This record gives sequence, C-alpha cells and structure tokens, in this order.
Amino acid sequence: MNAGVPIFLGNDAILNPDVLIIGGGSAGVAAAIAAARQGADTLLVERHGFFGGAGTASLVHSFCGLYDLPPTLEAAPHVANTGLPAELERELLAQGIAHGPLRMGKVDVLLHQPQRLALFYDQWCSRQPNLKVLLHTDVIDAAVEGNRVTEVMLHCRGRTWKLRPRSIVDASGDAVLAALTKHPWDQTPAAELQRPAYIVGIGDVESGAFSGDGPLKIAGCLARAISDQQLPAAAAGAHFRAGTTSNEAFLTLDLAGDSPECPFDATDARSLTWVELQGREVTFAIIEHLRGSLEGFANARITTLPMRAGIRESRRWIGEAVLTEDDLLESRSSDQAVANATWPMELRETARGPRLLYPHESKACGIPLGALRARDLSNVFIAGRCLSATHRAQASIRVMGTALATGQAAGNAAASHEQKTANLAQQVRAVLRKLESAR
Amino acid sequence: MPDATPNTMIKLVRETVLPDLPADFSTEADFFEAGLDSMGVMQLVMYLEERFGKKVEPTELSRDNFRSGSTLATLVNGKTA
Repeated sequence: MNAGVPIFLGNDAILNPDVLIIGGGSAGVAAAIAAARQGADTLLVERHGFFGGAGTASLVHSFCGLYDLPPTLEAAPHVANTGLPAELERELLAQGIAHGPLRMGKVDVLLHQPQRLALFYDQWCSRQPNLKVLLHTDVIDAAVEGNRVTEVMLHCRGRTWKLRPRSIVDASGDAVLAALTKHPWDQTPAAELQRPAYIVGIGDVESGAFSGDGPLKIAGCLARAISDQQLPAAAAGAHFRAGTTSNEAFLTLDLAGDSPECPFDATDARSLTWVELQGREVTFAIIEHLRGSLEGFANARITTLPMRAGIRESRRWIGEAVLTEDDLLESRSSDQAVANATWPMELRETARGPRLLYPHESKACGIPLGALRARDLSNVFIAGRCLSATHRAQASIRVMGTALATGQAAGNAAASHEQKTANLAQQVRAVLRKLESAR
Repeated sequence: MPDATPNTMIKLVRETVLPDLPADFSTEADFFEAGLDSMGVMQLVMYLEERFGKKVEPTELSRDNFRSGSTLATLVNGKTA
C-alpha cells in the first residue's frame, strides 16, 4: 500500500475509490481520515498545494467551535466532539503547533501556527493506509444517473480524468458538486452574505504592542488615519492578534467585498479578484501607516500573504434536513445527531465587526445526519461550511472545529453501505461512542 | 451636537457596534464584557468625532475610558487627563 504517496494518473486512467472527498480543508481531511479508518479506499483531492483550507491557505490562526460553550466562567475547556477533533487538539498541543485553549469573552479557542498545521495535515493523512491524496486537483464535472452521481471528472493543469467513486463527500466549501450536478442549493443575497476576510502574517512588531491597551491604541491610530483620509475607509475592518510565537502577529481585514463591477459573491471570479487585490492594497497601507505612527511598529512588515482570502459563506447544499437558527438557539439534538455545533452564530454581514448570537443555554446543538446528506443524491454527503443549513445557522457551523466534526461524520457515513439515513446515523453514532469510550 | 450623557453613550454603542446590548444595560456595566473589541473601539472613535465632535487623543485610548456608558460620557465631556 503506497500510504499517502500521490498516485500517478495518465490521461485515460480511471480510478474507482470507495469514497472520493472533494476539498482538503478541515472538513475534507477529517472526512478522508474517518472514511479510510472505516476501511474504505479513499481519495482526497485538493485544489491548492497543501491541506488545511482556511486554517492554512487563508491564515485563519485559531480553531473556533472546537470546545463546548463554557457553562460558567470558571468551567474548564472541554472538547466538543470526540474522535478526530479531540485527536487533532491533543496532537497540535503535544507538538507545540498550537497553544491554548484561550478564553476569549464567552468562548474557548485554540491558537495555531498555520504553516505548521499544513505539515501536520500532510503527516496525518499519510499515516492512513487506505487514503490517497492528490493536490492541485479540482473537480470540474459530474454525471448523474437516477439519484446517484456515477462519474466525476477531475482536472489538474489541463489534464483531465474520470473517476467512478461509490460515494462522495463534498467538503469544497462552495457546494461545487451541487453546482456541477444542478442539485438544489441556496445562496444568501449579496447584501446579507457573510463578508470575506483577508489575513496577513506580520513580523518584527515589538512585544507588548498587542497587550494591555495596545490593541485600542492601534484601533485609535487607524480611526484617526481614516478620518484624516490617510487610509481608505476599508481599513476600518482591521483587527490585530498576537500569534503563538513571540515575533509573530496577524492582521485580519474584514472586507465588504462589493466591487465597482458587482456585489460580493464568493463564487464570482470578479468578486474574488477584487477581494484579493483590495486585501493586499489595504493591509500593506495599514502596516506602512503604523510603521510611521505608532511605537512598537517601526520595523513592522508583512511576512506572510495568504494563498487566498478567507471566504465565510457561499453556496449551501439543500439536504434531507436543513439546520436552522432555532435548532442552534434551543440547542436541539436528536437520535440522528452526528456532530456537535457549539460556536455562537457569528454574523459578519458587515465588515465592521461580528455580531454574536448565543444559544439560550450553554449547550451544544446536535447536527443531524440529514443535514450532511444531499436531498436528491443518495451517494453524496456534505461536510464543512456548505452543509445544509440556513444562512444564520451556517454562521455557527462554518468554523473549523465544527467542520472537523461534520467531516468526521460525513466520512464515516460515506464509508458505509447502509442507505437509510436513520440506520446510517445509528452506525455513525456507534463509531463515535466507541471512540469516546476508548479515550 | 447632542449631550454626552451615560445613557446617550449606551444608545450610541447599541446603535453602532453592539446591537444586542440588553435594554436594561446599566451606565456602569462593562462594554468589553458585553463584546466590545478593538474593531468596535475603532468604529466608536469615528462615531464620537462625527456625532459629538470629540477627537479622541492617543493618550485617551484605554480600556478605562471605553469601559462603560459612564466613563465614555466623562471622556467625551473632556474631564479626563
């Protein structure tokens, strides 16, 4: 078994994995590992050069939704989902890739180093005997017969080939397979869509610039520069955070994303182009301004650019079940629940900071397997931020900690031969219970 | 320009940065505990200038000054150092 070593494919090669996972972000990696550990021959394809999605490529530097909502201020952090999310937390802390958990207001997060997380995911994947991975690989077409996807076309730099997987997990973030198969999907109107973020790594800022009143001094300095028109208004979406190592920080810039050409749409190349260009222009201008205006920033410089801007919301699948705002507010769960959602609904409908909606009680919502299953395609499962949820519910489940959990559940389900959702949910729950008791 | 009272400051914060601030939020209650962060402070600095003519000086940017309706009103009325 060539564990983790990319397989060579000729132009006409046809491969028939049991499970194909589209997208190697938090959800896709977890889905791939879960499916492989169930014994399924699994292929994970990722369009960029490394795994991790938002947590690596977009420089999102903390895992949200990894822990339960603390019932009291004094309560110790507790990992919300057994199995792969717990395993990842343990490994990242043991290897010094992450530190925390850190309580931020009413929630716990795990801070991590995006570059080292990419390497961790490589190694995590290559330890699974049944898992093959292909980077720089995109899904560009799919054929449907009856209620099944029978064939998928992959693409790498002008070379295309077809696969006939038994089942598929769409962890693309953008419900790519729904668009390609013309399966029903939903997308929030531009005015309410969660805004994108452009995150850069910053180096050579003096230690202390981000502690105490430091962040407020930075905010005041930027506000003054915006009022005086030394910085563009878009700089008001800026937010700094110290990284996990002493000489590292991140600048997150929330952007409206609306361009002169079109309102924001994360599946429109014109919008994506605008966000990348504006993100670079404004983050560089901010650092240049702070170098000349604020103590501690004299030598500051941008050390890392993201491979792509962070996208919070685009298409959402219509599944057998649709997770709603009320499900989260009331912490609903059922005997079909296969992953816990614990992050508040973090609305970012403007680029002027978050609005957080918490459940009435500090309790997890159980995501039902039906929300991870395409309504009209029996061999398609969904994980990550494009699963079947309303716009508001998506604002909770999109985060990476929850994506690991929905990925794990979708991967387990996709590896099974069971067809009926109710039975399949019981199988997945049995696997999770076994992992829990093995801890 | 409207008067900067603790209650008008709470109203400003609710209208601009923390829409979910409870109706009974007291003039001494902590905005940071209610979710105010540096990005919110940036917005507030701009709104204070636009609506109350208050230019916040770099030395005035502290958690102590932005903590509550009460401290913000004191800041805007120019009674701090």
